[in-house]
Amino acid sequence: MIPGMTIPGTTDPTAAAGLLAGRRILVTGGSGGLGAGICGVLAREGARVAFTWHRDADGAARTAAACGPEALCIQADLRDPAAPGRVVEAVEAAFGGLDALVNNAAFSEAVPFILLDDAELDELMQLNLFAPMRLARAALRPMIRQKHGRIVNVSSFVGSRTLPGPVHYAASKGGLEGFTRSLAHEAGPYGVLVNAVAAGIFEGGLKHTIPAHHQARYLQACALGRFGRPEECGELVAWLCSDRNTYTQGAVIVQDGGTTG
Amino acid sequence: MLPILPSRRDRDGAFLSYTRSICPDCRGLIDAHLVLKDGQVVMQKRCPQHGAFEVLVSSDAEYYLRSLTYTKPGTLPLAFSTPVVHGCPLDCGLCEDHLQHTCSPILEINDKCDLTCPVCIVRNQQRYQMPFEAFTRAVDGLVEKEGELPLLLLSGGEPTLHPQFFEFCDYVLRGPHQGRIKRLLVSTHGRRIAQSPGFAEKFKASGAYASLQFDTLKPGVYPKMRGVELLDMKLACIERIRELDIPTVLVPTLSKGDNDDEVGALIEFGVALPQVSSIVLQPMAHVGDGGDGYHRTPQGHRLTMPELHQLIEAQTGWLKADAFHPVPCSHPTCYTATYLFRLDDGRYKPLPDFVDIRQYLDAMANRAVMRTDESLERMLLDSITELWSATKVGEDASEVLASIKGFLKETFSSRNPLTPDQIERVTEARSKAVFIHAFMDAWDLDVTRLKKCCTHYVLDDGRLMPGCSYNNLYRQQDRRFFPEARPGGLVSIDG
Repeated sequence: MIPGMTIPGTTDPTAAAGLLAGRRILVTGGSGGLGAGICGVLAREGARVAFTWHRDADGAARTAAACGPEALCIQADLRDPAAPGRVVEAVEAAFGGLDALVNNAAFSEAVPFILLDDAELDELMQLNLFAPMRLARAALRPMIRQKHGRIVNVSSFVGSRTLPGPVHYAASKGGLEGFTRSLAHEAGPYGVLVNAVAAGIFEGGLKHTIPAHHQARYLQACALGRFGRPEECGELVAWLCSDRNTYTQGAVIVQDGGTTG
Repeated sequence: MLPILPSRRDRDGAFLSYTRSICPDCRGLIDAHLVLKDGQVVMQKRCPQHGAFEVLVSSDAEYYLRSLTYTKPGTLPLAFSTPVVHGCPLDCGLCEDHLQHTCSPILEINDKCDLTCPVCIVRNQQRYQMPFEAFTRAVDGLVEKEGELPLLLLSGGEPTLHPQFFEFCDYVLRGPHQGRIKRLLVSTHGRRIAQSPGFAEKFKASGAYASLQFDTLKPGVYPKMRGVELLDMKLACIERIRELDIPTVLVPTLSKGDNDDEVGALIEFGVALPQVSSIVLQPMAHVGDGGDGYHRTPQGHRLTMPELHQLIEAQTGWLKADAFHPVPCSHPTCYTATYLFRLDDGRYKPLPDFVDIRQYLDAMANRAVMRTDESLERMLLDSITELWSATKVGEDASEVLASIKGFLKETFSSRNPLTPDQIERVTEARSKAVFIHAFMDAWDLDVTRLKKCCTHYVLDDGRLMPGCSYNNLYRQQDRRFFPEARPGGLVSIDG
């Protein structure tokens, strides 16, 4: 059997226990917003969830409670280049391996590009782009070893569309999408599927960094006429992390309720 | 020898425009002319019974004419209350011809007050207390006509003396229209906040803003303007406001010769007090039981917009006259304002010093409170770009840029998630507004100004009355305050 695939027509052993039964999954930025929603769905689908958090201890406690007793809660400042390796090691040590990585942690603030100094550009890129790359590099070792793995990068619709938004944030997400496509080529032959979700505006996500009139314009253009809910992003991520996904590779799936499509 | 013919004389001023006003003696509606005279603008009018009147409208004709060049379409309310039958100002309520919606509604909940201020613009009869049902009816009617409002001002009388005062606050801020009225202001002399710790704490908990009458920082002024020395009480009230962090609007009434030498000090005082979000300077209007008789010759005691701008510049040094611009939602002679932005070093800088004036005026159009919307965003982005790219930058440019950046990081950052309401509060904390609001009296009442009025009294019968129309023409027919009044007493003498 080709690693990472189930054969159509055969019985899916995970069906009763959940889409992700027994899968060991690391989610970054799990204490709130999209990350919390993703963790909740993954846990519901039977995954053993590890997640990172940085500042919001209360949010981390809520996510941990929602993910059940097996949840692994890791405080980490992912801007530190050494942190991603340590985080992956911790998950492997606790769970005995790693089946999927969800790069969700990101930062944004609505400051015009011309006012950003080098330190601010560097800080945002460290968290939004370099940390996912470092985490993926660390996670690929066990995934390649087991010839099976899933990496899902949470991007944004500003990463590949001409939209008003913080320039450095959009650049980091554009970079993340390029990273997703190329890594898919490099890791695909070893059973690792790499994809990205380009998220629109979600409740509890980075919505509060977007001025109200831009939010209103989004809603006007949105075919569904509403913001997304974090668990809706979680459903898509869960599928991409699962064995049901066998042929979606290097894709950047826009999930914005039909706003930019 | 030829007979000597009488020579013709020129009029003493150049006609500018025609309007309608009222006779200061009988309040009858009469024609009026605005006339350019000696570099100023005056109103000239003639009552068939009481003769000719002239009153200063603007001490600077050039400023006056310039101020008329910027205008924006008014905003329609969701509903009007009265049809056009007789024409302005005889159909108030708002009539279908009124040119502006309600930005600043005033709801008088009583006419009882423990002061009898010589400058008071209302006519307290010391007997009316608005029943709760009438209050809810008035608020419901207001929301029905406006949908959402930036503020509502409770007034009186002294509204804090109403026994159901806090129930009223609850109804506005936490009742069925919760969130529709963004700020509840209470026009108060401050005595209960100053003298009753329990009341002050409840006031803070209510979420209302104190709109505090605050005329002077010197002893001896309150006895003349308010009938009794109040300075110690006012300063105690300020201390309580500081201790409890009560959001406050400072409202000095300015009377020429009494406290116009303090306008700079009053602005500095408000700017320095963190709880003060805005300062509303109100030049004395000779209307109401107090104001009517405050000066024997009211036409000689006018404090007009440009004169006040010059006084502010002279007395502060840093707040220049040209930082003030008419608020486009009302007539330029009624409201001018400037918004001050707090720099990171604690200094305040007028927004017009570093933003495009047209964008600034557009951003301020038809609203009473600054908010982070598209026009403000465009203005700030353009201002940032201009300041950043300028080859010759002023000494403050880098400080301004750093401060705007700090403000944006504070408001729209994923590290510091804020709700829209919290963003408004941060914006408010980062800025202060200085408004000048000139009410009209029977001397300078001008229906052109009335037609664009956005400060409206909220009546419990559903009508919204332009402030100066109500104070000068309708208040004495309001049966809440004058049960014996005959309705429909307004007349047009020459019409």
